[in-house]
Amino acid sequence: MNPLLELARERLRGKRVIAVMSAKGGVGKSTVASLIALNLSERQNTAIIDLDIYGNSTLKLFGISKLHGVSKNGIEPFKVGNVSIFSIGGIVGDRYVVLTGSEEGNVLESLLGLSNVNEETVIIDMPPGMGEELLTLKRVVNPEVFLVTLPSKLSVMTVKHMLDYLLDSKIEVKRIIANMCYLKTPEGLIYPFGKPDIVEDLGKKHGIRVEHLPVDPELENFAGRIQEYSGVLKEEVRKFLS
Amino acid sequence: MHEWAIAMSIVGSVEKWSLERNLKVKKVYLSIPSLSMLEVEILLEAFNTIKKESKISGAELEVIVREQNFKCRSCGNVFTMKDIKEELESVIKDYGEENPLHIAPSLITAFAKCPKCGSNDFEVDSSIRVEGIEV
Repeated sequence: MNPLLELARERLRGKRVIAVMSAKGGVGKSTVASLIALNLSERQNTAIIDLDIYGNSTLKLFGISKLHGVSKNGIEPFKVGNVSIFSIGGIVGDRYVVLTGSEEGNVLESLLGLSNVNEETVIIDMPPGMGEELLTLKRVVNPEVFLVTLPSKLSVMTVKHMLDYLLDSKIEVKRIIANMCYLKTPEGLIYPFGKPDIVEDLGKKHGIRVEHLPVDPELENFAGRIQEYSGVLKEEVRKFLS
Repeated sequence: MHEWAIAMSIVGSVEKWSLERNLKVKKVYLSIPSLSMLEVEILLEAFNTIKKESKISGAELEVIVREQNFKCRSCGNVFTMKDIKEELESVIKDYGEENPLHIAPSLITAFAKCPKCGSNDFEVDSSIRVEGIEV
């Protein structure tokens, strides 16, 4: 019997759990996850659990460099407005994490089981790929998924395999998010990867709605203070959440 | 301090198990890795307090602390906590009581190396598990 796994299940039972994931790295998962949380937090308290134990970008996006407090209830979150944030970065601080494959699941179960989540909506920021994190999440909870891809052929080909797995595993894929689709310029829209038809085709094939998000060069200025960002990307995320 | 959260997880898991089988639990055997630095006294106090509000209020907890043997996956060397004493002391000095190994002992590979070859790639037996239940 594994008490931490049971505790993780209990903590998330009955909550709305949204997992933001992609098979591909560098597609903007953490940014999208943070903007989903920030938008939802305007209506209700929302938690983010960063399961990317090697990258933990969420803390960097919010500019947090402290360690989590620990109480009788477990790991206490960092609070940014109405957003509560949990991350392995808040346990180890500013240093690398290296783990054997067999121990990854134990770390993730510790993080999910010990995080003192009191919010009704929980956003899970997933690492890229289809490793232990994906299996651990499935052991703990059946989330709704926002699947992020770039509208590039390579990214879509990789993400397609993840989508196949999710559908095979009866995990609900709520949206496919084609991130960094276009850039607004005075001369009109520019599509750096070409028109996102391949993403549309993937969505149509499985009856999943595709959302198109723009590139906002301004966003870079908000790395470390994404909670202050209110630009076009946040607005576009807000539209598909409502 | 998160011993209380661990105790909560044990009471919850064992209570669920007993209700599913309609069995009265007399004793719970919990196995923890020594690496976790969990305080047995606090675990017992927390368990005995939390169980009062549960369906396993008559259960006793016995905690078994597993001594650690690490096996390097690179050179095959087998070593113990004594062999990485300096690294462990350094973690406690840097982070204090609520240190990363206390919260997630699996993180040891991020803080210690095989004393023979210097690799971080070694096996750890770090899970917290209920080894047995007496009814």
